Amino acid sequence: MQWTEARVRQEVRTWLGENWDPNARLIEWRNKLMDSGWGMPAWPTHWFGKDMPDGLIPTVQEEFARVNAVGVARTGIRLWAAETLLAHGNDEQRERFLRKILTGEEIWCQLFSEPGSGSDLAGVTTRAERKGQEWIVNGQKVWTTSAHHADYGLLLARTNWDVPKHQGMTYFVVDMKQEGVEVRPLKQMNGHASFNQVFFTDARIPLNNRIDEEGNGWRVAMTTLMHERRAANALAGQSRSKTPEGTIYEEERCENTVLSEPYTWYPQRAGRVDLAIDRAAATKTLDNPVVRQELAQLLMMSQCSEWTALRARAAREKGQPQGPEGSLGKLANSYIARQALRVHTITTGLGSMLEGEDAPMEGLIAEILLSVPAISIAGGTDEIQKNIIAERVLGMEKEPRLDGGPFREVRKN
Amino acid sequence: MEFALTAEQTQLRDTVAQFLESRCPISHTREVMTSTPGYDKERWVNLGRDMGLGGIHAPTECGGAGLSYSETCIVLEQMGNALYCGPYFSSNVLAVNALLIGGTTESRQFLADLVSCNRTATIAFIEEDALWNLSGVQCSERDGRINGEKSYVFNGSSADLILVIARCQPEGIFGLFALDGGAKGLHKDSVKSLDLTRQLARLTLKNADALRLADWNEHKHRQFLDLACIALANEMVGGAQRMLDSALEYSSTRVQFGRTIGSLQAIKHKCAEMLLKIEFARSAALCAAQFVRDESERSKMASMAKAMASDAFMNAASECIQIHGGIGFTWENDTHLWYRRAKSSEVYLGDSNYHRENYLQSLGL
Ligand SMILES: Cc1cc2nc3c(=O)[nH]c(=O)nc-3n(C[C@H](O)[C@H](O)[C@H](O)COP(=O)(O)OP(=O)(O)OC[C@H]3O[C@@H](n4cnc5c(N)ncnc54)[C@H](O)[C@@H]3O)c2cc1C
Repeated sequence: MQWTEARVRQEVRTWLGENWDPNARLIEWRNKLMDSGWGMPAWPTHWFGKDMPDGLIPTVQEEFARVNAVGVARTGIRLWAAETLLAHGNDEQRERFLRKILTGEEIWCQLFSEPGSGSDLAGVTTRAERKGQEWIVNGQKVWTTSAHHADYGLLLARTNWDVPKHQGMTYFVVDMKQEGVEVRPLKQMNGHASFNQVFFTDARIPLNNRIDEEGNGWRVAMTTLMHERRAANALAGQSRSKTPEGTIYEEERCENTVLSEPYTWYPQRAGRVDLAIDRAAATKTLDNPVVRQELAQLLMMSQCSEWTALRARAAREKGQPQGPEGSLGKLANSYIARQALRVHTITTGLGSMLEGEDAPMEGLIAEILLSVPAISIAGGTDEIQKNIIAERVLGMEKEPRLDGGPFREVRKN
Repeated sequence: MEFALTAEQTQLRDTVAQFLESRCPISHTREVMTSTPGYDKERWVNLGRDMGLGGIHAPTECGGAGLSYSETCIVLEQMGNALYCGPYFSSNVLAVNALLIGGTTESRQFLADLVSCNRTATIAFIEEDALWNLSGVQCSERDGRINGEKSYVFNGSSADLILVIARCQPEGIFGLFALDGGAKGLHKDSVKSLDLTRQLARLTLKNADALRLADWNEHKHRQFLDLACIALANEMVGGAQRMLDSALEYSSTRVQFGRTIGSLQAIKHKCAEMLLKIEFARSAALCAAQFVRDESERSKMASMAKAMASDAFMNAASECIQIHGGIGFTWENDTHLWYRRAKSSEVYLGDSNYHRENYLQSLGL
């Protein structure tokens, strides 16, 4: 039977009506989501899904939001880790990992960036060598968000140094709780420590934790990054204005304070557009013509960005070819965050010199001012986004490269 | 709200685009823009009458197509893209809007003529002391005769029918009037316009005979200006897109340092940024067109669309010249024609600063 919006709405309503219970246990509920297919409805029926077209997912989300039903765990890299394993993992790996990523029971991190290769991800030099029934890993990763909590990591490592750089990498799932893995937190400019250095010294990976073929790591990593970018493009989820009553929300809050601790400042790095008008009113700067101009610009950009995302979604729902509007979200978010930072600075004035409890909004403004610089770096810098838009969306000629030939001979840091 | 074009709208867009590309290429525009009356009447009739675009959102009983404002905006986007040079904007959009807003039988009697392109019309509403509201309007009417001056009238010298907003004496209220293009007492001075594809005139009225069509007031004027802003914003988005496409085309062929300039990041990043601004403006313009009947949201949306489109088009036109290098600064190269349109559209109906302020006020701030 074909999915239609009406049918989706009716089925999800019925199912929520029969199953949703704000006093359920969080993990139990999420297992129910996995078993029923309502957690990841776009996934195949035999892998926790309902084979639903992407265009209808917002309908499901709307219905969940209507009754404040809790969804699958989404913090951090969960969604793109899961999508990657679904796309490239074998059945045993899917069986082993997918469920607990989405119930929130296991924590994952993304071990891509290295001191010597960030934007140029294909330059990784962390080495994995096959020894008998295992892979042995040596090297260093950096900027790894949540590595200090993680149970597993998605690892991109070099397995062949004699082929061109993109062909010599392999993708693994590595157990983070082992002797050969050392995690050292890095303090960030905003005072938080959500990312880490990760050192591998003869760390071990069982043979069946290799994802896809040996040498196919780049392709798998592209899947991960595509889903990461898509998540950045998607509309920001509605945050609940005030938490409704029920034990499940308490458990969720608990999860948030512990596991989501690395992400508490993430809303601030997006600029907190939601606070802009109230701040202008509170600081009595609404009659300052410069503030008015910058504030209006911010609100318009934010509205236009939302509409641009909705246009991309509408085109998808109508089966129209994807236009450029679908690739702009990440870049747009950077511009909006910087504009928000401007507004917060000029409304707050001298208060922008303060940090901590005595600072405006108990330091929240300072946290915005100090967190926005991350948004144009994390997950691919603005410059890389612009290269991608120019080359893939606008079809401009690729830059000539100087890093061909066997990786061993390529110039490195 | 609809965020994607329907199949019919896509078809309309493509049909108009094809016509403009084949029949109104820029070489043709260059020829007609320096002629009198400054446009090709036959092409305008082709568009308005033969293709049925003369009154897209005018009701069918007035000869219009009875479609929504979105369809009008779709056509305008293509006209902006092609830098169409003709009285479509002044006659088939601005004047038609004014007559529809006027709403009386008197005002509607002219609609059929405009929609079928039997006559061209324009509207004279700007004065030195009255830009985007009525309070400073000096033009006044007494016993069916108008005295005063109007500026920045699109196609004012060639229009068969001129609509004028004037203060009615002795009551002091405002009215929408119609004057014959050849009316006695009406002096039409063509002024040299920066945008070579949009003729401008200054009108001096000395006891000029006028027919009162309808009452006018700030509320109607606001509606008229909002609709004009939305229309112009859509046209500007088309122009901006053309500038990006032109920059992309040139940068894929021009070679420096043994590579196309399009492979250089400085150029790529400019283009990516142009795209972002254009897509924002397109979203604003496309959505605003759907709010024309919504009294509470219309002004806000119109201001957002005008502000975003003004900045996006001006940015795209400037960058397009930059990306062309020296050639971009020549008369021969076509880019300056769009640059001129961008500059003049940027300030017409209020610049982006003005509309950002308006936007906040419409939000109640
Ligand atoms: C808060 C945060 C969280 C992060 N979390 C993770 C994580 O969990 N896992 C993970 O693997 N990584 C993570 N990262 C790393 C992030 O992906 C990299 O920092 C990013 O890709 C940039 O790499 P880099 O730091 O090595 O900078 P570089 O690549 O050295 O870039 C330095 C500068 O050069 C520019 N540049 C580089 N190449 C080009 C080019 N081709 N064209 C134009 N300009 C260029 C960049 O734009 C930048 O301005 C995180 C980063 C931050 C800030």
